[in-house]
Amino acid sequence: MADLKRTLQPGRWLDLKRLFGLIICLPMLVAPLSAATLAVLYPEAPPPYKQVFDQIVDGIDERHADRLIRYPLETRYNPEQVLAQLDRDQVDMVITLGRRGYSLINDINGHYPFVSGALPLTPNGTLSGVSLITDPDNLFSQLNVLSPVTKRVFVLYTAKSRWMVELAKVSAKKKGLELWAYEVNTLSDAVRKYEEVLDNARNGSDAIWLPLDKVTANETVILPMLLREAWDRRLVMFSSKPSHVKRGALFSIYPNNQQSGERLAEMVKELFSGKTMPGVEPSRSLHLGVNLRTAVHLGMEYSPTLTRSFYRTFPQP
Amino acid sequence: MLFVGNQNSLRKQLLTFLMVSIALLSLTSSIVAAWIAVNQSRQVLEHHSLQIAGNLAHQSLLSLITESKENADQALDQAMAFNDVSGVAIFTERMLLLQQRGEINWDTDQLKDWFAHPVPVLAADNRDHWIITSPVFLREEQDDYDEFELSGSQEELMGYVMLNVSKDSLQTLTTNLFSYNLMIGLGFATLLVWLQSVGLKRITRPLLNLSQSMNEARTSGEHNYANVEGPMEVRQMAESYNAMMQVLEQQEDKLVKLNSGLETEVAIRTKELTHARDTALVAVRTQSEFLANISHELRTPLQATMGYIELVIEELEDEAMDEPVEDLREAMRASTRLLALINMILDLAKCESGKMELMPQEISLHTLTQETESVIRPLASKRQNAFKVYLPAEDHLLQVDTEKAQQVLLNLLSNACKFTEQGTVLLSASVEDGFVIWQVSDTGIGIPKEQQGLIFDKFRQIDGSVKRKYGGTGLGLAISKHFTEMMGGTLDVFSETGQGTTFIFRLPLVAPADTVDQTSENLLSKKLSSTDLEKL
Ligand SMILES: Nc1ncnc2c1ncn2[C@@H]1O[C@H](COP(=O)(O)OP(=O)(O)O)[C@@H](O)[C@H]1O
Ligand SMILES: [Mg+2]
Repeated sequence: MADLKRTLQPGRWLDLKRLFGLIICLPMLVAPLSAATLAVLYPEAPPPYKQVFDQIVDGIDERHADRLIRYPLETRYNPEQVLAQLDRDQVDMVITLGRRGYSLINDINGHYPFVSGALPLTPNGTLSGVSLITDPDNLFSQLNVLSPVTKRVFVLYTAKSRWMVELAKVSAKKKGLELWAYEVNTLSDAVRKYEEVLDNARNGSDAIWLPLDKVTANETVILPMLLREAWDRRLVMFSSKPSHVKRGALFSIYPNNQQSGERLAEMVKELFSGKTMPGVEPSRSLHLGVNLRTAVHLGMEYSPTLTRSFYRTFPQP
Repeated sequence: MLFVGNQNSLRKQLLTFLMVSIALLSLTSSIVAAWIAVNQSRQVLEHHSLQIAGNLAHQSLLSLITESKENADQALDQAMAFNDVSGVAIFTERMLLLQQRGEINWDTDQLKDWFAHPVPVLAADNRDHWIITSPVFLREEQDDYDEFELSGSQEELMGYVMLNVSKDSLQTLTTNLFSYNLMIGLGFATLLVWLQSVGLKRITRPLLNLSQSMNEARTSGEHNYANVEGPMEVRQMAESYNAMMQVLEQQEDKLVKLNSGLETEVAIRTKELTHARDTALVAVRTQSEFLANISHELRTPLQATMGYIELVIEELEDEAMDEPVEDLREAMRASTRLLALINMILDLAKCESGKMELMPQEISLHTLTQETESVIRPLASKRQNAFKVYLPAEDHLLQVDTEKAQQVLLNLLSNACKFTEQGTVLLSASVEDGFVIWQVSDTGIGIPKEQQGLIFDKFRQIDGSVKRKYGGTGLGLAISKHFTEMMGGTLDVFSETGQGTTFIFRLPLVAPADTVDQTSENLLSKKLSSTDLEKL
């Protein structure tokens, strides 16, 4: 910067070298002089996960016009080195993506304004960022479209997901759905409760919602059981986890990485300017994934226009 | 047994060797193949069983979470559906039995060891079954990639499963594999051995034929040729053998020809020789008989004539007619010489015709020698020779043909005196080893070396000049040699020309009994004796 200022001093003879330097520095001149440097810490991931982070970073880049420095983190990175590097690079604000970057927040906290993404974040009052967890409002909107006959939604959750269920209750009322939510503590409780729910569920009007919960949506025990039972009883089952669609859930919502990136950039800027404290937001993505086989099995018929609007369909053509 | 011994034929040895090799090979390969197959199937079974255990662990998750036996039954049924699984059991994480199915036994104390592994393992390898165990873990997520999670995926131990895998099928497989492999191997070996036997027979037949024809050649001694057939080496052998036989045959032919030629030649020669010998013998005999007859016929009138001359000399001496007496005495001397000559020829003839006989009698050595000395002494003085006689102090009694011995001595001494002038003539006698040895030496003209072997031949004199100078008949030594050999003695000469001559005359003290006929067979040797010829 000092160099740059000197070149701009009037009355000085400009040689070719300086002119060249000026041309290179020209784009920087466009940005306001108070522009902030943004650091993005993200894991060096193998494909296809790399693409996810790239898309998020693209989104950030899109919204952040100033200097953006990328810090890909190796599996065994040295936190001190990274922090020192941030210092050297005169970073003003930080975005962490994924678990690897998130593990640095205790060191970053207080030094830089930061937000996190690409994680199933839950609101805790201090943290800001965009969660991978889909807004139940989005899910229920899609449910109304894809299975209009559904009136009741059953969900099992643990304490960790309570906040989400609270959101869902509000949303359900708006969408004209009855939400039957049961809190459980253990896997065996969950199994028993699910058996009970399944026994009482009515084919057609009832649906089961699998939240993003490691106990009540356990993939080794609960998911196979529910998939089997739901298939047998022709029950609508939708999930907060996109990968469940491929395995047989009717639908789920994929995160919109680009959008998340953009939102993260906005959030960190808000924090930096000291306006507000945005907190944790659920994913507002509308990328719908639908299992057409399950849909056919359930007797759903979707118009081509609707089908074309799906972000992803299974089984993949 | 059949093993490689020198007595067995090449084919047998080769066959035995191959048979043993093939048997070993097929045995080893079948056993090894079976072993490998069994080992592999064992590995496959183990792998398979571990997979079943892993699956069962997965299936039993629900039953362990709900602790429900009904859920367990479903998982157990699935596991039991596998052939080799003869029993299964599910245990809670506190190692308490949840549900069991089929035949499966355990010891509660063992469970801790068996369940100590984080993955499916072969916990116990018994003689007829395996115990396979696996822990049952509950994982929160199935995704491996946990970068999108707030905390890493965790595993929770829910319980254990246990499988009893029967080894029956493995054991059946093992026995089957080994027996089939062995059977196939042995069958194959038999086939191979048969093929080898046939092949070897073909390959070795030329060799056998060759060896047979060689053997025939050996036993029969005939030169039969071998057939040139079979592999290259055998053909070469056969060719070499045939070439050898050919050479042998040619050589033998030559030998036979040579032999028969020789035989006929020898036969012819022998016949000729026999004939010559017979002729010679007959001639000698006829000659000798003729001589003997003539001598006898000559002697009788000569003796009669000499008798008359004696009578006339006596009458004339009485009448003191000295002049005719002297003439008559000259006639008497000539007659005596003639008589001696005739006697000698008679002797020689007798010897050669084998009619001479020995008449051994006892006489003292001294007597015999002294008698001889007295006869010779006047002869020695005739040419002014000194005559010396040496006798051993001790006298010996001899048993010899006195007349013949004395004749030999007289012969030798007369020769010595005759061929010596103004020298010394020596006669010595000694006894040694049962022999009496007379030595007659002189200092006369000597006998040249080349003549020494010939002087014992009859009519042999050194040369013309000697004969002219000294006269004589050349019969004396021949007769002497004859007599000596008849009596079992020896007569040898040692001489230097101009220095003198020594004759050694040896006789056994006691005449051998069979000496009589000894000479009669030696008629071909030409030996005669002469005694008084010198006096004549
Ligand atoms: N003592 C001798 N010295 C030299 N020559 C001898 C002597 N004795 C024999 N001879 C030779 O041997 C020959 C044969 O001897 P012998 O048979 O007695 O015949 P002869 O006395 O009648 O000649 C003699 O003629 C003489 O040449
Ligand atoms: Mg003589």
